[in-house]
Amino acid sequence: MSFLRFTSTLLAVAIGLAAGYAAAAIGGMVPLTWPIFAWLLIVLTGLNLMLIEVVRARWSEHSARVRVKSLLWLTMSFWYWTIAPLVFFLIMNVDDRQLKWAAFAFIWEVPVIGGGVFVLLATRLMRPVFRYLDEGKVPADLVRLRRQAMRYPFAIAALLFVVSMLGYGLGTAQIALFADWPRAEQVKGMAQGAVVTLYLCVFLYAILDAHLGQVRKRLWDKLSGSKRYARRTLRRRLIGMTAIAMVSGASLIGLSLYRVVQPVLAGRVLLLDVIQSQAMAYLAGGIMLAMALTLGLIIFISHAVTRALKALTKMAQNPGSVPEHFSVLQTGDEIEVLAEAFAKQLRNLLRQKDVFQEQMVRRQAILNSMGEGLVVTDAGGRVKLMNRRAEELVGVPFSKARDQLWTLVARTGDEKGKLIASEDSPLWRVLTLGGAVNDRSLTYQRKGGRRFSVAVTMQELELGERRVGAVVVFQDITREKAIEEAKTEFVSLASHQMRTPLTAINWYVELLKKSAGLSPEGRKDLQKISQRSQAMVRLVNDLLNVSRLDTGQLRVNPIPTDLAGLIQRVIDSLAQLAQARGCRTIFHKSEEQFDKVALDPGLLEQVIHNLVENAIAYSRQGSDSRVWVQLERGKGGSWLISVQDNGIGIPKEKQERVFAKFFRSDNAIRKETEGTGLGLYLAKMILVQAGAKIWFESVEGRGTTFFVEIPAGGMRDRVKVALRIDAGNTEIYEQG
Amino acid sequence: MSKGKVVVIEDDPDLREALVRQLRQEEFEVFSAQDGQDGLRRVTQVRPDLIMLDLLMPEMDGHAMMQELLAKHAWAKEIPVLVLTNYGFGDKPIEDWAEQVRMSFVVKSDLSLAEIANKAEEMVQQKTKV
Repeated sequence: MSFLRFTSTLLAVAIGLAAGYAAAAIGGMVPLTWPIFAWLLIVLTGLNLMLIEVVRARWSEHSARVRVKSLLWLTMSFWYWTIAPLVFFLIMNVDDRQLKWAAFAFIWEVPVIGGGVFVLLATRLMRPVFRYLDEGKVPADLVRLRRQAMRYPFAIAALLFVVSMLGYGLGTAQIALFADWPRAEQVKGMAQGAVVTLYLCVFLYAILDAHLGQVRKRLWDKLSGSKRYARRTLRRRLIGMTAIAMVSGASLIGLSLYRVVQPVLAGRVLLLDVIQSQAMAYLAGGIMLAMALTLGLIIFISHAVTRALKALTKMAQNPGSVPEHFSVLQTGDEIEVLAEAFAKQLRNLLRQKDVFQEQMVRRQAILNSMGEGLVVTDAGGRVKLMNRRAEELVGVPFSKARDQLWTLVARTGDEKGKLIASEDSPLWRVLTLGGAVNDRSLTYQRKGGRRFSVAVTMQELELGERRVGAVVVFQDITREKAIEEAKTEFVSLASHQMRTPLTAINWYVELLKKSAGLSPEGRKDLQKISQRSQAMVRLVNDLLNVSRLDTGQLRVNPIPTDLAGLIQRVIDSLAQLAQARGCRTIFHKSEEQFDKVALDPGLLEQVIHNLVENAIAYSRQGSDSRVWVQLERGKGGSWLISVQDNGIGIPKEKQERVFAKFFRSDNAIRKETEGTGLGLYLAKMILVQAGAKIWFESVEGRGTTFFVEIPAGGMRDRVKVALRIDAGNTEIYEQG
Repeated sequence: MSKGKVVVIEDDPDLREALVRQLRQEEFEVFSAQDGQDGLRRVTQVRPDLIMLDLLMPEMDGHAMMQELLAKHAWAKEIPVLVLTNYGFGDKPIEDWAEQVRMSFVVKSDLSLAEIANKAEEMVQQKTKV
């Protein structure tokens, strides 16, 4: 603050001295020529520049009042001590005495009339706004204040014109009275004064408009919540001021021309001479002055625009710096509208980023609370995401596992612990063919630790239409596997234990049958024992098979077999049952002799036995009860077996579940309560695993036909099985 | 005229007896043993045309017996072996001795006595055919 006071005081003193000098010059005590006048003005301007710097340095600390006052004083004094004298010099004719009076007038009028009258009046005019801004006093009628604030720039510019004309009038009067200025010059003096002032008014209007833009906006926003503030001032400014500048420039040129043209008009000088005379220098000077002034104006305006654009750019490049740059952009015009929209977007962006980050954190928390390990890979099988459990299970932190092949990180291996090549792993299948895989036969290895069995579910990861990777969820099932193994062992042992007494029963019944003293009735009784006992054997076999299937251990051992012979054996073994039910079994072969086909006779016999037994068991009552068994070659050399009955059929709503474990349709249960329901489940599982197909056609009340198709190459021996779950259909497909 | 000499090695007495009776009815010359040790002695004594062997036996089981038999006597590998078992489900026993002899493998509970006797006859005839 003291710097300001110091500089102001210095300026005041300088003005006093200069005025004193001019007065002395009038009195004849000291010389005053144009150069000396120029120097005086230079000193005063220099001090003004110092003042500008002092005020600018602490701009934000000053009150609104001080700021406006400084603006007004500096603009005006700068103008009237540099531009105005220059124009005066170019256009006016003055002798020595007149010059001294002119100098005197210039020097004392600026502070007194300009600084005193004008600035005081202007400040007075704006007092309500200052009270609002500096002291926080809200006036009773805010609408009126706002209206006033809208008009300030124009009002003050108009005030300046009036006061300035007053000043020029006074100045002209002084020179006329005390130095005998001719009438023509007086008029010219006022005219050039008016033009110069007009130019200044435009400048002042622009500066005030820019400076008060913020104030007006604040007032407007306070009044109405909506942003209907007319912010079209930038365009107004640019167009308006450029127009006035052009006009003023033209006027200056015109005035300069006047000086040249006047003698011609008066007939004293020839036009030709005029053109050649030094008057051209005046003309040129006038033009250059006008252009320089216009250029200055344009620079001033473009600077404002460029500054705003720079701030906008900075905001765009660094969204975090929105607040600091935004304050620059509160210009109260279109630029501010843009900046606000911009800032809003940036703030939205930052907010979304925060929300997003929070979601990420939350997602990670969810993933980490899972009991299963979860790994997400990209389309190449490289680890992109791991949850905590996965890290624990394989003993590798995500930071190390990232971008490595998952199959290598987990050291994927088969049941026995042998490493599987990445291209052979189920993960690869999912990545290349899509779909999902459930596999319980794999093992992973903990880094530096033991190998463990895993139950893995893998699913392709799709983004829109593209496959971008896979999601792997896995669990350590060592315990489950141990339990399974124990169960299998138990079932094996139990089945052995059960088989031995059954064998004894069967064999002794067989021996008994041969004994001589047996009545026909006795023979029949023995037959019944034999049948039931054999049924028991089959049940034990079924149980053993199911248990093996469940643990994926069913083995298919294909050997070259006479298929027709096998079927015939099955039919023969069921002959007595058929007879008991009054059902005729017919076996039809499409050819007399067939080649041998690779199949597991034990398993296939069981399947055919199931089918034929079912057909007989559920055949219709009556003499027309039939079972047709057919063997033929199908397309591609496959083997097609069909078992057809004309029995009770399978109701439509039950047909879907025919191959499910323990399924028996109600009508079947009603007819024959003894079936276990395991037969068809086993049949399908065995056949599908061996590469064959089984299906059926049935009409309730009419009959059923089951079809078994074995491919030309025979049954396959597949040891390891992975289940593929696809749209509710459980299918088995091979692996490895 | 007997169809051949058979040694039946089975620890379950009832099953053993049933097999012996059936085979005798089918005119085989039948000898029996109740465990591995016994079986070893019998086979060495009799030098049969066929060995019927249960795998699961106390003291010395079927595998061990065959191992020792083949180790001790060179002529033993000429004798075909019909392995009878109720254990497991059709898994061939994969032991060294199984490679050295002609061997067949049946699940007792799945076959009748008559079928076993047929199988025995088949195996003996194959041996004599050479």
